[in-house]
Amino acid sequence: MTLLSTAGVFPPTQNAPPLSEPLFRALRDFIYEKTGIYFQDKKHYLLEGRVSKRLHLLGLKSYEEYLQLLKYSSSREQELQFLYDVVTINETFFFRNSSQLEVMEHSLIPEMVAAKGTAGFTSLRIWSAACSTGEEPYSLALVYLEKLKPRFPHLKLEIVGTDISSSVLSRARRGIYSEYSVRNTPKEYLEKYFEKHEGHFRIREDVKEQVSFQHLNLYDRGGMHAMKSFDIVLCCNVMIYFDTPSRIQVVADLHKNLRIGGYLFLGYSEVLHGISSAFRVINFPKTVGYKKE
Amino acid sequence: MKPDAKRHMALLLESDDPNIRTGAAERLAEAKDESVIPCLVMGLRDESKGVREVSSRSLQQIATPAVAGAVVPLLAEGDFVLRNLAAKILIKMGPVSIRPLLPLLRHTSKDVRKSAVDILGEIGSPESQYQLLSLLHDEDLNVLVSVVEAIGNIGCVDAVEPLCKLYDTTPSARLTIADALGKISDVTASEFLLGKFVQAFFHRPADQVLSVTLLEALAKVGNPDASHALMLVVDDIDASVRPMLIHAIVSITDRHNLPVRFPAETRNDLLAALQHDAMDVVASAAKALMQFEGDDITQAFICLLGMEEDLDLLLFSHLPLRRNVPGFIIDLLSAGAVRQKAQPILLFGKLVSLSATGDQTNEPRSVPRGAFEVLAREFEAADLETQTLLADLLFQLDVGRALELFGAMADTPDPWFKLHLLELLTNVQDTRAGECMRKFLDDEDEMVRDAAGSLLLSKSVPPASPMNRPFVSEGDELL
Repeated sequence: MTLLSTAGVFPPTQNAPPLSEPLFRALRDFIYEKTGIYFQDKKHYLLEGRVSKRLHLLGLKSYEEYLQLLKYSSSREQELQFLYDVVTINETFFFRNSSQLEVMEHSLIPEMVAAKGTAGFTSLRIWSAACSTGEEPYSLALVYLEKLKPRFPHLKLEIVGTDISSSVLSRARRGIYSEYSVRNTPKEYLEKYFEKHEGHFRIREDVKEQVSFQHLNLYDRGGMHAMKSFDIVLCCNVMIYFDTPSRIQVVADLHKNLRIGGYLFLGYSEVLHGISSAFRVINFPKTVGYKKE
Repeated sequence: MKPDAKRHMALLLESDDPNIRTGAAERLAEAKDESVIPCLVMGLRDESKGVREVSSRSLQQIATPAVAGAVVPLLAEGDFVLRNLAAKILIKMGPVSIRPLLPLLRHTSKDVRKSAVDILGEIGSPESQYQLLSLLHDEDLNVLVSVVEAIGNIGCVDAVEPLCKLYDTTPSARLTIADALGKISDVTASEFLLGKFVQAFFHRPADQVLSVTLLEALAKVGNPDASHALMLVVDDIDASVRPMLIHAIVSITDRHNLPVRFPAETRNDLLAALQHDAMDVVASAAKALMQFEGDDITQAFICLLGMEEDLDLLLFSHLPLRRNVPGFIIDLLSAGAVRQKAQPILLFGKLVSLSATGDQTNEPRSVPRGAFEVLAREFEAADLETQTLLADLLFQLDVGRALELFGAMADTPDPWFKLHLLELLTNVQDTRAGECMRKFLDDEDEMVRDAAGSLLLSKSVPPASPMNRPFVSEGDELL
């Protein structure tokens, strides 16, 4: 999932018609398919407020017309960019949270391997919660194959990516990405681990094998219960979609999903202050981790 | 399967072709006897995911102590894929896995001990509870936390006292302990949990996750004293924790068959709690709100209809007692404020029928003005189930106007819905009913054609029916 701008919470424009429930769902699903941004039912008004601006500018009479335009018009690609602008400030791509990856590569994982010593298993469990089309867990798999495995030959990373949408998970499993998605990928990774495929970048099979994907709603307590014993959880730019009571529940479950000594990473604009003191805040270069102690 | 065939299949498990190996694992599973266990365990190590999964499924089907005995040692292997498969098999097999797992609780590796504890917790059988209790002092914190969780899943009542002691000495395990005490659901934990909640309430900085977890546990084990004490802090608690506090109070009073009485000042807090994501919390807030009058509450209840089955049952029994429900249903439908429309429409129909039959046990009501138009507008976008309800209602409200809309209503590919429309027409005396029926004589579905033909024949003697008069209450204008 990607970050939803909090700046533009404006009410629907006065002339816009109300966004009916079926259309809200259709528009919500369409946006999620395209951007990985998921508007919960309670965010109906928020989405309506944002999209009504486009309706007003385009002189459209209904959200149905707008959805038709997004799907079938010859200018749909251009309109999609405008839509992205009003509903996001960014979207997911490879090596998006590079400072978190660097912390994992240089500090966390070496420390965890050392702490395990010879007594325990030589594997670490890492979970990319709300992984959308898979860029985050695959970035981690690339760092593992390229940097960590040569340094720690016995280390195995069990990387799990989950998301609420089955269709984005299918895309993650296919592992084919646009140039836009790989724009931040270091050249050596791009050349070594991707194959050019009809103008797109296909991630190599040995990278895909490092990641398993599962369908999971972070608000589903039964599903969350099954996610056990993770050493690191990446849950970036997800909390912003939840109101505080829901955030409390998700944080409580994420706490249980982590091993003691494990780390939770959130998006840059997300904090746990005032929600939980069960984590210790650890300041790393350019990022913050929440350690379960 | 004959021994020769088994040997042959075992050999095929070593083939270079993963499809042949998968087929061999499937055939070996058909044998369903313990002699194939070593081959299938070998299949769990196969590089092909397909072979591994078939072998795993086959072992789960055999599900004997011998399988458990052969799979348990895999939990100490270095390969996490193999460990995960072994854990999955043991959990699926259930109690038969317990005995072979128990020795692992003393394993020198903390990771192996933790795996064994996690699996026993997932199986959730009391058979292992005392062995697990003895591990509540494990030197490794992760093992200890897993033990707490497992004991909670099993529901070990003898664990309440040691868990309460552990809460103060092991801060890392607090959330898991509170959760486990809730699952064990022994009322003796009520006072302890309430005390810890009060501590958390006054602690700064606030820990909302801990407060909510303690309240969730109290909701399951709290006694009436706890409910009274919680009521005292409704106003003062953080708004994000308040819905769970309300849920805890209502759950406790419900469990002890006490009336739910919230002070009038909490009315808006209760209404706000209806927006919570967890349906059990919403249901509690709804129960608490039922003591209050007010159109805003009635409308909020109508908007909740269709969100969850149990909540619907609760609201269907309560809403008929409230004022002007049909009017609000129509207003809310008209304003597009109702998300799930089928349940409000169903309730509208029930209430109108109750009035038609002269039922006096509920709030007296009449058909609101404009109901026909609003319901007719809903027809096109509704799903088939709701369309059926709507067709019934439209004919009940005004047969004449329903017949005018018949063409649009009959524009459906669903033969069962067409049969339903024919059934409605059967009871209509208006001469246009016959015309409507004739439209189905050329229907693509034979069943519909036959029914239309038979009904037209029977129409020569029209039955008398209350369906022929529009439903109008005293004081209403004609729709």
